[in-house]
Amino acid sequence: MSDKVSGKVPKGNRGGPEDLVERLKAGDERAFEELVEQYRERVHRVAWRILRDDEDAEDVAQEAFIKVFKNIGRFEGRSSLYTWVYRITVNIALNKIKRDKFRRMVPLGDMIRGDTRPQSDPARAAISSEIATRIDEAVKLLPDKQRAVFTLKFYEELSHREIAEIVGCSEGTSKANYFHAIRKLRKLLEDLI
Amino acid sequence: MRCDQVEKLLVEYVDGELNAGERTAVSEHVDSCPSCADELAALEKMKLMLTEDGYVEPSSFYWTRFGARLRERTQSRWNMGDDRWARLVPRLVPVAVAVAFFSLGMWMGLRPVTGPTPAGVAPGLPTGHSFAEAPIVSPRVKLLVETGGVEQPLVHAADTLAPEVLDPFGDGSSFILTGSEGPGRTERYLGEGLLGD
Repeated sequence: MSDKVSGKVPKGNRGGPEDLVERLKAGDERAFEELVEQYRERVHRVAWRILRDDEDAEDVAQEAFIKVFKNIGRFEGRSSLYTWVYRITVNIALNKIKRDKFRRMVPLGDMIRGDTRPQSDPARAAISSEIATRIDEAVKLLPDKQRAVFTLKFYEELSHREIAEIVGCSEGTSKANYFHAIRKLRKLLEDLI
Repeated sequence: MRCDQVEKLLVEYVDGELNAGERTAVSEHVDSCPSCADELAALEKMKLMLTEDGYVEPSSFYWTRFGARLRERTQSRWNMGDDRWARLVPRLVPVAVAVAFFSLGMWMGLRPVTGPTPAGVAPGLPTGHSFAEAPIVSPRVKLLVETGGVEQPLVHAADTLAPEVLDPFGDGSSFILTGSEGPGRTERYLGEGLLGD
């Protein structure tokens, strides 16, 4: 998670986030490629850990970068670039969960979706263990916001201040969400501990 | 510190986010409380277990494919912007033609057939049409020509003009002076466009 730190470069640094933002705003195609290279792991990781699905994670990561690309003009630098990128990713992922919940109510939608999903990749299938499956199931049972906060805190090791900024809540709410997520996971995974 | 108080701090204790005082208090309690010690051990084990959640860092091949797909999508969005114009232009053509016809109609309807015009511009003719191309002259100029008040070639030409050519608007306001000055040579002379004289 060392790349997380690379997002926090002092203001005005050539090659730093501010410089990158300026170039992105100027429509520099190379700057967009740099942005993708710098943030793709984080974006993909967060998307996957919220959604727990390879294909969905890729779709969300793609969507997040396209959104960054389209809306960079609106980025005023009040938050860090990496915080903004995280926020966009988390929002898209949470919206996807909401949409999927709605789709599950429509059997035809589920049928179509089931038919089009590819088989899991062999590497992933090999690593996948009972523990991983249980964690998947347990995390999916967390309320959306708790899931996002848990992912950002536990896996991305962000501070509650940063998470609050990303998720759009207070630091206290972030702490409470994380606490409840851990307590719930503790309960759901009790037999494995 | 009581067990219920410690329990609320255990998550932060495991994450190393308590201040020194709280940390010492929790530590002392856990050392003397088997139940809280068990809970602490369970949380630490769970934390370790959660790191094995099956997430696999994508390969470099994946990122190449990811980048290519993203480029394709961003490119198509750029192109979509261009296409939007491409789709819009044919729709705007009839509007532009209608506006052009309307403007032309307005201009034709409103333009004066005769009237004062800037010096050097032939009255009643499209703007920019100079006397050099369609020489028009007022009665005053004709008088000047007749009385020898203008240069010799003009006088000479005026003498040769056919009367019907002199009054193009039929109202006596202006005259065109064209005439032949010698064999094979036609000259046109202009006046000042002093209409309504």
